[in-house]
Amino acid sequence: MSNPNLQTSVLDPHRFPPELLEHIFRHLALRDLKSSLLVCRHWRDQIVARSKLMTRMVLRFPENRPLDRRHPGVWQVLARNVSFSCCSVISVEPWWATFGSKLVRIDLNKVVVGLPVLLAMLRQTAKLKELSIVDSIVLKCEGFKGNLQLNDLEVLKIERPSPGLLNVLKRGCSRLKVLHVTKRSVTDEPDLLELVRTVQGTLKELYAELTETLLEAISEMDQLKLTGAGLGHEEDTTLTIEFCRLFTCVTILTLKGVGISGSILAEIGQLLPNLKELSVSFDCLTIEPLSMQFLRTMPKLENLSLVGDPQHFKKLGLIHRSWCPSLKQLQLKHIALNPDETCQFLATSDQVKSISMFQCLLPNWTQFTQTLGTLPSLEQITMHHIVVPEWPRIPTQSTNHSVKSLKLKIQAIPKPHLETLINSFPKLQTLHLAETRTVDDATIQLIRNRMEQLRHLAIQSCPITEKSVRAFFLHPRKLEKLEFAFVAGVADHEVERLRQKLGPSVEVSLKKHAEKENYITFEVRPDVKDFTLPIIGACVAILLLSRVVLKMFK
Amino acid sequence: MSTIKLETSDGVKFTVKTQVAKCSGTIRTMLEDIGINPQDGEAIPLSNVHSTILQKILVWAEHHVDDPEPPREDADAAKRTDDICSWDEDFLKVDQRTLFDVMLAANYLDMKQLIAVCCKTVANMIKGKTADQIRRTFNIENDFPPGEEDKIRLRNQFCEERSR
Repeated sequence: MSNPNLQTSVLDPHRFPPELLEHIFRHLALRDLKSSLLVCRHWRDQIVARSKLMTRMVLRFPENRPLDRRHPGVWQVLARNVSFSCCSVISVEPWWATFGSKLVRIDLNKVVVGLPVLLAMLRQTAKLKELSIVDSIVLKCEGFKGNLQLNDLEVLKIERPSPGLLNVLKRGCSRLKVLHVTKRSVTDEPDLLELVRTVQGTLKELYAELTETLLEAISEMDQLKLTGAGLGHEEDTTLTIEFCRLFTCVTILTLKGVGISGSILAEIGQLLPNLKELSVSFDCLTIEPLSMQFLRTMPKLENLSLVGDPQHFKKLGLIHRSWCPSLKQLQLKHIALNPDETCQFLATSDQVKSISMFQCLLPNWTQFTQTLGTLPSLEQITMHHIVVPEWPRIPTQSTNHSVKSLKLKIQAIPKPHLETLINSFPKLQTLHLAETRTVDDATIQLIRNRMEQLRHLAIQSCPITEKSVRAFFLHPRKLEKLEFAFVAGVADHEVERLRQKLGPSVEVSLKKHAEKENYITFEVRPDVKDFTLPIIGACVAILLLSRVVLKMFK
Repeated sequence: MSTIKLETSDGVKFTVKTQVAKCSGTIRTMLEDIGINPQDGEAIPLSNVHSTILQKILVWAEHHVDDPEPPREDADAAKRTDDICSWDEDFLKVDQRTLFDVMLAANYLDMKQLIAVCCKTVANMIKGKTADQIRRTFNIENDFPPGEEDKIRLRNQFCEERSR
C-alpha cells in the first residue's frame, strides 16, 4: 500500500488518460524512455503497448560480445528492430521464435548466413515490415528449396547477388512497396521479374539495374505505378529514357552509369515533371564539366545528389540562382567545385537545409565559408575528406545561427580555420569531429565553453587526451550524449568517472576497437533438419569465408 | 463580434468570443455539427472543467487565436521539446496540479496545440532523470516486485535509437 501521507499522483492512472501519457512519451528520447520503463508497472505497460514507441528501439548484435544462449533474456527485449553486423549466423535457437514474432525490421550488415538458416530466422518474423541485407553473403545450399511468407513486408533491400533468395521470396511478400535489388546475377533475373509481377499492384519504388528484359517486362505490367526508381545501366541511356517515358509519375530517381550527360538529364527532367529527388553517379570518362542547364527542367527538385568518379573529380558547369528554387538538400561526392561557381552553386537557394560534401575539391575555402554564413535555412553541414589546395592565411569569420549540426572529417584543416568554422555556428546542437589532426584538448575546451546549445558531441580518432574528458566534469550544459571512439589518449577509467559524475542525464561512451567478428551459436530448427549436412558444410565455409570477408571490409 | 456563453462544472458562466471558443474542437463540433445556436443566449455546459482552469485556458486561447496550423511531424521520431514559445513557457509556470488540470481540460476540450505544449512541458520534467527521480517528481509509487526493475534494465541496455 502506498504511504497514506502521500498525496495521490497527478499522473494517477485512474484519472490520467493513457493517450495523454503516450503523447508525453512521444516527446522523450530513447534514454528517457528507458528510464520511464522503470518507473512503475502502469508506465511500463503503456510504453510496451504502444508499438510506435517501441519501433524506435533497435537491438544491435553483437554488442562487442559473442551472443549465445546465455545472453540475458534477449528474447524478452522490447526492441522491435534488430540489426546484425559483422557476424555470421549459424543456426536459429528456439528463443528466436518469441523475439522474432514482434520484430518489424531486420538489418543484416556484413553478415554471412546460409540460406536455410536465414529462412529459419524469417519464418518466425510474421510481422516484419523491412528487411535489409547489405554487404552480406547469403550462401545457397545446393538442392535447397524452400518458401517463405512475409505478408506484411513493405521494404526489401538486397545488395549483392544472393542466388536463391529471390526465388524463395518471389511469391511470399505480396504487399511490397519498396524493392532494392542491386548487383543481381543473371540467374536472379527471372525471379526478380516474377517478384515484380506479383507485387505490381503495391510496388511504389524499384531500385535495380535496368536491363532490356526488365524494361520489357515492366512495360507490360499494367498495374505497376512507380513513384521512385533507381536505375543502373551499362552504357545505354536509351533504356533510362524509355523507363522515364513509361513512368512519368516518378518523383525520386537514382541514376548510375556511363554516358549520363547534362543533355540526358534535361531530357529526363522534361519527362518527369514532378521530380523531387535526383541522385546521379557518374562513371565519368568525359572530362568536360557537367552542364547544369538540366536543373531548369526540374523546377520542383528538392534533393540533389551528384557523385563523380573517385579517379577524377567531376567538374560542374555554371549554375544560375533561379534554376533550382526549391532545393533543400545538396550532396556532392568526388566533385570539383570551380573557384567562382562554387558559391553560386551553393547559394543557389534560400531554402537549402542540408549540405554534404564527400571527397570534394574546394579551391576557395574563404568564399565557401562566407557562403555558408549567408544561407538562412541551412541546418546541417557535413564535410568529409575535403581537398583544399591552398588554405588562406587568415580565416574569415562568418556567423550562421540556423546551423544545428556540423560533421567534419578533414584531416589537414589548420587549427585557426577549424576553430573559426566551429565558432561560425553558435547554435550547434550536434558536432562530430573525426580523423582531424588539429582537434586537441584546447579545441574541446573551446567547444565546451562556447557551444551553449550542444546536445551531442562525438570525437573519433583525434589526438585528444584525458583532459578533454575532464573538461565535462563540471557544467556539461545541455549535453545529452558524448561519444569518444578510437581515441588512444583516453583511458577507460576516466570515462567511467565522467559517467558516474554526470549520472543518467548524459550518455557517455568510449569505443575502443572496431567491431570484431562474433559467432552466434544456434541449433537447427526441425523443419530444416534434412539439410543438416549441407549446413555443417556451410558453417565451415562461413567460418573461413567470414574471416576473408571481414578482412576485405577492414 | 459574436459571443457565446460557457458554463463550468461549478456553475460559473463565461461570455467568450466565438472565435476564441472555437479553439476548442469540442465546442467547434457542438456549434457546427450539432447546431447549438449561440444566439439563444443559452450557455454551453462544460461539466468537466472548473472555472479557475477555464479562465486560464481562455487566456491561452485568446493569445493563440490567430496561430496558423502547425506543420505535420514525423510520427515515429522523437519529437522536439525545445520549441515551446516563451509566452507559453511563462503561462505554464504553475504548480503541478494546475498544469495537469489544464492538460486534462485541454484534452476534454480537444485543443491540440495546448495539449502538445503541456505534454512537452511534462516531457521536459522527465528528461535526464533516473526512474527514481521521475517517481519523486510525480509522486508515483514503485509497484514493481523486487528485482523486476533490474531485469527490465538489463534487457534493454543494448537498445539504441533507430536512425533513418
